[in-house]
Amino acid sequence: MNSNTTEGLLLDPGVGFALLAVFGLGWIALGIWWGRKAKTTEGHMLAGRNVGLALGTATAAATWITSNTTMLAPQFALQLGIIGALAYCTASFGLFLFAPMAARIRTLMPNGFTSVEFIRLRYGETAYWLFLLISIFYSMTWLVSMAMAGGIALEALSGIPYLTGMTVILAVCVAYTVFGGLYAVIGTDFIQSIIILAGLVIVAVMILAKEPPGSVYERLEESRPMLLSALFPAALMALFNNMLFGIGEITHSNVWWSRAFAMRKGVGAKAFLLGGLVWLPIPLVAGFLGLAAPALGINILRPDVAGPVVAAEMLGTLGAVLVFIVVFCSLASSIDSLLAATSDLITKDIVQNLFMKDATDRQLRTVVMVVIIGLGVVTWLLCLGRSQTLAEVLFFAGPLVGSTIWPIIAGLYWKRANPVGVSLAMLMGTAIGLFAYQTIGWYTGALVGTAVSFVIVVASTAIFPREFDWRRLRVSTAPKSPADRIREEAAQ
Amino acid sequence: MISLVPQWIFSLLIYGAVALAAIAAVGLIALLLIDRKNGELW
Repeated sequence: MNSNTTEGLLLDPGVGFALLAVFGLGWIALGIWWGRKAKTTEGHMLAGRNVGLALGTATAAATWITSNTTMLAPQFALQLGIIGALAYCTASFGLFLFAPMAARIRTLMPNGFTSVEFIRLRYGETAYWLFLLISIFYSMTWLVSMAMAGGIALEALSGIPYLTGMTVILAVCVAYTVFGGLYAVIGTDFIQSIIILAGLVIVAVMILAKEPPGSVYERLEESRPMLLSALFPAALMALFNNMLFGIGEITHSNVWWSRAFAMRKGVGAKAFLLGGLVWLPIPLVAGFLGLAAPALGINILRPDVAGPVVAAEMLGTLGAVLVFIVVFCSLASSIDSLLAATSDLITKDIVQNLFMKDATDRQLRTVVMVVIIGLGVVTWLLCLGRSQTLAEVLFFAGPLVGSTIWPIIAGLYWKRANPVGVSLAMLMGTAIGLFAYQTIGWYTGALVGTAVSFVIVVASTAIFPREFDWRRLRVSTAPKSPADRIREEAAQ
Repeated sequence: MISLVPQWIFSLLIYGAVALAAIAAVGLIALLLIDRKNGELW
């Protein structure tokens, strides 16, 4: 058990390439198949706004199961103990909180497209630019962190070179998202969520059959009692940080807003609630792998690949294959969603809003596809260097994300939220949160950013209330009449 | 003196999480079949 596992290969490279080929080609074929349903740009972007409960629940859960969930949760458990694993679970609160918000978004903007569009209509140009920058920065951070995680994981598991693994994962996701849009993203999300859940359950049950929790507990009590501490200070800080990070990410990101717009009326709230329940146990199941490492005497040289190393060490080739598939599905389920949602945002809120106000449906469809491919290329370029650990890359965005929570909530529910105060809240929350991130620690960034933003939003709304007419959101996003469209097509 | 999470809570958390994940997988498939039967997939 004391082998220096990360030095050797956990899976034969040939097997790794074969798995990549089978799943990669499978996702692309499904993307082309489902893509036939996307007749218009709206269909491509929002899957016809008619997604049902099963696919809605699966896509909410699968998108939130990133490779960070399956790779970082064991790292959290290994470094911060059982409370660290539980801390990761609190990220599901974002899905629970978003459930009523999804219903509210669908009611206020039944024909809306993006979260940035909402901010622009609700608060005006200054808030729009700030929010747009935060959204783009965060989307790219998330994309880069996952593509990097993919390359690192595939290399650690099977010896597939980092650059090759990262390139293949990105290329596959770009291909099926271009062909199938949100139809392909949501369809594959369902299959991926089942594979992830089943894979993790099988790995956990096989490990539990060899080492029950009681046995792991007793060994940890002897060798690493801090990992069982109920009051591990860093773990408690991570708990709040993770919860706020999850809430901030889900409230602001267009990944979730596009799903709220895409789900059939009456489905959104239930789907996000159930999606949160589906997601809730996953960090703990994955975290158990991290806790098992010191208890079983498995030498972990790099904590960010602790989960795969433990699975392969305990279960041999089968464990490595299962983890490989789970990690690949976790990556694909999130990268495709980010590509689709970020391309919507760039197409609608930058290209159409600023440069192509009168674009036809066909032109917009072309723009969406070009943007998806462009995003893939930019992500690939940013992933060429791998200088930071996964946690650092991910949590650097924490203060930015935290500072958007209250502007979004106030914008959806408070009629008198002040637009200037909201812009100031995002600006100061980000600045002071990043200062805390640099000077105190990564786990305080989101907490400080959220607190500062909250104070400014509440104070500005209380002192300088500004009335808003909710009907403006519905009217401004109303679709054009067929007569208008015919006139536009004829003019061009 | 470190205040440790009791062993029974530790075991409950691990077994509970694995059981919930298994139920979630089966539940998703059941939901899909219901939606499909009602023509409400998408």
